[in-house]
Amino acid sequence: MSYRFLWKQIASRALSSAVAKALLTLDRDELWKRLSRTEKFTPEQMEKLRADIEARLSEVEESGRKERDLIAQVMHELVSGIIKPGGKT
Amino acid sequence: MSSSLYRFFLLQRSYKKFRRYRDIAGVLARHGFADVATRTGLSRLWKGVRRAVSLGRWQERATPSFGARLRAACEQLGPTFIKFGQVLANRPDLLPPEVIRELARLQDQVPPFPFEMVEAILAQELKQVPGDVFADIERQPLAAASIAQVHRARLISGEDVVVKVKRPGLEKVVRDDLAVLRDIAGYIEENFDGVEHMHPRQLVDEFARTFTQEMDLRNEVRNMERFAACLVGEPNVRIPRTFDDLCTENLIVMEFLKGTKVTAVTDWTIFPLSPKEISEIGTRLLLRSVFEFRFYHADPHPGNFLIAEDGKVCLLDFGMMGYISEARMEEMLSFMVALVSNDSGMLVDSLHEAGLVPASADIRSLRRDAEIMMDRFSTLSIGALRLDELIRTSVEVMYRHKVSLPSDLLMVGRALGTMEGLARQIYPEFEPLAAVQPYLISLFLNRALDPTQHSSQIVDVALDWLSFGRTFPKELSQLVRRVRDGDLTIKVEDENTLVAAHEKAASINRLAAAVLAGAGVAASMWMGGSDRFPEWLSSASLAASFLVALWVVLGIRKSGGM
Repeated sequence: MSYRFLWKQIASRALSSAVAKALLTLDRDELWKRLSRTEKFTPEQMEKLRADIEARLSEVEESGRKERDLIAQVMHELVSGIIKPGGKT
Repeated sequence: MSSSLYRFFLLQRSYKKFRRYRDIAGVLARHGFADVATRTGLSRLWKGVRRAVSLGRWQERATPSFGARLRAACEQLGPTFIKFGQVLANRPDLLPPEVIRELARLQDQVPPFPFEMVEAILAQELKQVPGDVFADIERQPLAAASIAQVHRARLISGEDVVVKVKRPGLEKVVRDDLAVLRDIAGYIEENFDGVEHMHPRQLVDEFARTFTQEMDLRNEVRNMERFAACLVGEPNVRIPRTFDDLCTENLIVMEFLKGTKVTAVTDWTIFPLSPKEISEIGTRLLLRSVFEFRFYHADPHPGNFLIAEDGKVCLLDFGMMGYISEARMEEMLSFMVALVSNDSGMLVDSLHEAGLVPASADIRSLRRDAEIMMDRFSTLSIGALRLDELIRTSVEVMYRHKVSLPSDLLMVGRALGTMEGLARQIYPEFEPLAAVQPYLISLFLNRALDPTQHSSQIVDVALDWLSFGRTFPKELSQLVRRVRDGDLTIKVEDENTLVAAHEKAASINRLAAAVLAGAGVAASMWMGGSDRFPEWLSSASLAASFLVALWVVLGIRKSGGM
């Protein structure tokens, strides 16, 4: 298996999960209020759309959580390795 | 194949083609297209036709509209032309609306072929006596179309089925017709001005490919299986099950679905679903097929919709299916969302992003026209708005600005228009925008807010940059070192200069050889006149000079300089 393919799989899942997490932590009520003002949806349709999107975001956030944590750990190690090159305590 | 046999084969085909040309010229003349036949050169084959069809009859036939006459001519010319007309009916960017309307009415109904032939084909395809498979086959066909005809039957096992048998000899007729259509398309492309954007040859080639596929009934079976797999989340829709062991290139055996044609239902109270619900189910199914399955029924006319006894909507005839790539679906979704949201800016942007706006287009003028069009539709009430009119008008605006919309987008537009017409037929209060808009906007928002849709592309770009960042410093340092050492060579090649240099070198070589040959002749003559050299040396020198001279002459001839 190509390393690029492997990295792509891990990184894209991690990124998706991170974006989903960020979207889920937004002030969503305000966002949906704005949407319902601009689009001609009935309240039921709006509620269903919101439920669908939030369910999908939760699913993506959860499915890529492992990869997100892994990438976060790698990034942390890299950054701490650069800032504290070691040797002196 | 020996060359004489091959020539005979070609001659025979040419003769058949000639006969077909004559038939086409005759039909065109009979339907008042004398001018078309003359302009395309078909009139040269007319002498016999002119005798058969009097001018008075041409004029009489010429009275109906252009579109009506074209439809009648296509129907008379047979399956290839009927199908080609139906394909053209999907191209509002090529033909005026009145012609499109007529071609969309093309009836694919022809007289049935005899039942004895059906039996013979069944025996040939099943490789056994039909009686061993079927307990009963109705002699009277349920329908007879240009590609196949269908009979109701019962299997030995007791199941009610429909047998679809391909018309015998169809391939041969279609092959000859396609050859003629290709010739006509080529002639039009080369001899008519202002048809470049229509790409007649490409149009015919694309049609030939899809029609040839449609003639192989195994493709229809595969389409049915694929579509059935997509219908898992649609409890109110069903399609007939096929009996794969009995299906071949020329035969389909499928489940018989008992039901009423959707437009023939008079009493809706006996069904569990109302006409409104049926209209919504049909529209949602088409939208899901296009945007979720990316595989849709391209011909949703009323005859292909039945209401089964259990109230389910049954879909029939999967010969003409459309397939859309993921990228095209994205483009189409943006285009459709812009249309139904009345957003002219998004409409033009979506076309721009899809690369459909030519560099020569006046974007400001296109934006202005799109805005005017949207403004016109925004004043209509949701019930008065017609989706087919909205799509058609937008296509006209795009066409005016030389934006060539892809044929699959136009095909989806036509399928939506047909579905809208069907829905209005059974439920006159049907509001297409109310049915279409929430679905499209929901799907658009769902996709836009789905992080997985973009992260893969972002990671791809990041990995490309990473790979570039890894190799770039090393390559840059190599480059700097070579510049510093004065070791950098920049190679510029001009193809014309290279060719000219090569020709010049060849000319110099030939000149040198000619001088050498002349010197050789002079030397051999001098040696012949002298006693100091043997005679053979003089002859050998002369022969060598002659050979060099011959090489020079051949070289000059080959280069075209002689």
